[in-house]
Amino acid sequence: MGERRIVEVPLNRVEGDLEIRVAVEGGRIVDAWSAGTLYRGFENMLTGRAALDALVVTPRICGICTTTHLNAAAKCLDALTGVTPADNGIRVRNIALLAEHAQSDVRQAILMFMVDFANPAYADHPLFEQARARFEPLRGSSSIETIRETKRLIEVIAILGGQWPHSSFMVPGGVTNLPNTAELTNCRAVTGRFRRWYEKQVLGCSLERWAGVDSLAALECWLEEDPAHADSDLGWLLRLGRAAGLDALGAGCGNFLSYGLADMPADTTVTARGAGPSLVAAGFARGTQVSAFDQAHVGESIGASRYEGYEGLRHPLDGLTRPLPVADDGIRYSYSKAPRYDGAPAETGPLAEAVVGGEPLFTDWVSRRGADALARQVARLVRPARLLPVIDTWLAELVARHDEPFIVNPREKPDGEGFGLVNAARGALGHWARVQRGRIVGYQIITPTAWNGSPRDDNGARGPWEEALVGTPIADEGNPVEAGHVIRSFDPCLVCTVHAFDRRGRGSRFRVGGF
Amino acid sequence: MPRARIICIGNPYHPADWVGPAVFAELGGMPLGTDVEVVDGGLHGLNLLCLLDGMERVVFADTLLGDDEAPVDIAILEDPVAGHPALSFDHAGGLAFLLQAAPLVQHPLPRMWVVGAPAGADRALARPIARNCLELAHGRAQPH
Repeated sequence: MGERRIVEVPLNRVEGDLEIRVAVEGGRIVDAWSAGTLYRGFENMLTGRAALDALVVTPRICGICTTTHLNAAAKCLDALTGVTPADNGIRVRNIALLAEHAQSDVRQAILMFMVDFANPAYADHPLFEQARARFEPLRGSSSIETIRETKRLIEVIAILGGQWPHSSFMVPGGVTNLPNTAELTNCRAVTGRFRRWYEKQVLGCSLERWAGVDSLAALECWLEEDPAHADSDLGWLLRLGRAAGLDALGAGCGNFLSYGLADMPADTTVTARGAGPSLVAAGFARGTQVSAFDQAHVGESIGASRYEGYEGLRHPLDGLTRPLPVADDGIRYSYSKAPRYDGAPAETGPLAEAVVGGEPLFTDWVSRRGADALARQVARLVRPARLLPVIDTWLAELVARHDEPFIVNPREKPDGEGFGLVNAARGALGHWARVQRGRIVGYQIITPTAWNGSPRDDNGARGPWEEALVGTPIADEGNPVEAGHVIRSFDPCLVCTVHAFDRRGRGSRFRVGGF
Repeated sequence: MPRARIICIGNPYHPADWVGPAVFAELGGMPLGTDVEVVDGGLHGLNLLCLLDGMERVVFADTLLGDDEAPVDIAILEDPVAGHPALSFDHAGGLAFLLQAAPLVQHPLPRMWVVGAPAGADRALARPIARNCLELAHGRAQPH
């Protein structure tokens, strides 16, 4: 046994608002603490405002998932007004959501995750120079191509939303902007171009060929079948990830949560995956045993969080956000609360979505080996393969059904209690609201990173990536790239920040956010 | 069609990040002319790249950090790309990432400036900053 030491892991490149402390013993992490260091306060900012203000305020929480926050707020208001949105309104909302997901997935994988393979820790690896030529930030060939191609995908949201950025086109009952057929055709051209690029660079094969990869054995066959597969970004992820041992890192808590993604229109040719009313299923899984999701089972603990006001778990509709203006005392160490489902921590994101949805490859992967950092990242990189064809189908349906309504005007003013739940690119995002006489009296938001990066709860149970870090070997405490792989496989996003420009050239941010 | 854009960066819900939102508000009351468009860039970073398309000049208005030992009221940074070798490439990479990525994928690349003031500066500076942005966007002024 080696000496047990507490190490501050320099993970600022993962997220500047995130601090990770780990206990290292014998070259392995034996305990971990994840701290969100900044208080956000959007919940309190919304109290007293008109209910519809949530459509404008909450997308400002994040510069990455603005469309998803807008969707969650709109769904919450759908519930509060008792309206069922028009089919075309649902299609427009969904297309924008899926475009945001596809863009985020590829950007995170290539621009944020793969860059670690250009880390000096791998300088002796035979693939290092090739990896660096491909993934080095702002120099690697894949890095530059990813910036170029993902830039165009935003045009879809701009067209459907009527403006970019800050498109506030989703409202209770549907959408306010009615794209004409020329604009919809333009959207199909943009997504068609992105699909061709994605197939060539990211997958190295057609979407149809990839859809046939339904097990770990089939994945091996696919990788060896064609040099284009091995030389794709996905092929590189698999080869480099295995070489770095990512398939043995970051198991996590073994529980998976999905709120579902993309409500299904009443009349569509798209087939939902799994049970339920959304394209991507909602559910909770222990291992690969999936059960139905019920938002009543969501609760938040503040036992290790820098808040006051209650003990145990509270449902978000009864939630309190009262920050403690005191220093981290080692017990209350994070400004993130600790969300739990049925009292248990749960990871969320593309892998959780795939497990809950019963996707064969990832069900096979998790049932045989459990979750790991490589599985999480592969699930993220291949998710657009499922989403892009659906975007095109719904765009075609909008052209064909253009004369049908895009919005059903609510007959009731927002009142009572409601919630809007949707999977953001990084996982389960929920807005819960209580409204009285048109005014918000309570608003709670649980973000995906709050689930994944939660601190301990009242029972002392670690959050998902705290748990995933335990057991991780650390070869060099000065360059803990292994811990970075694990955390980054969850795609941490604490970007509820303000941005400022550092004229000294030392960075770009001025942060005020938190989880 | 506009040939220049002023992109105001910042979070209107946080007072310390006031420059971009305040400049955006000031510009709303000024005659812009047909060549210039003003955009509320909010918290977006790389996702603002598409706003460079077709532009001859782009001016970013943002809160500035740094040089606390030698504070200035208003700073106008020309060629801001060259001055930023340090790179943050997480989700909050922000404007620095955008400025470094733009030359790689944007052809032709518009002429770009960053104009701003420190968080602690007098908020009355929003109007002169807005005027500076407008002059640069119209190509009528050189930074000094």
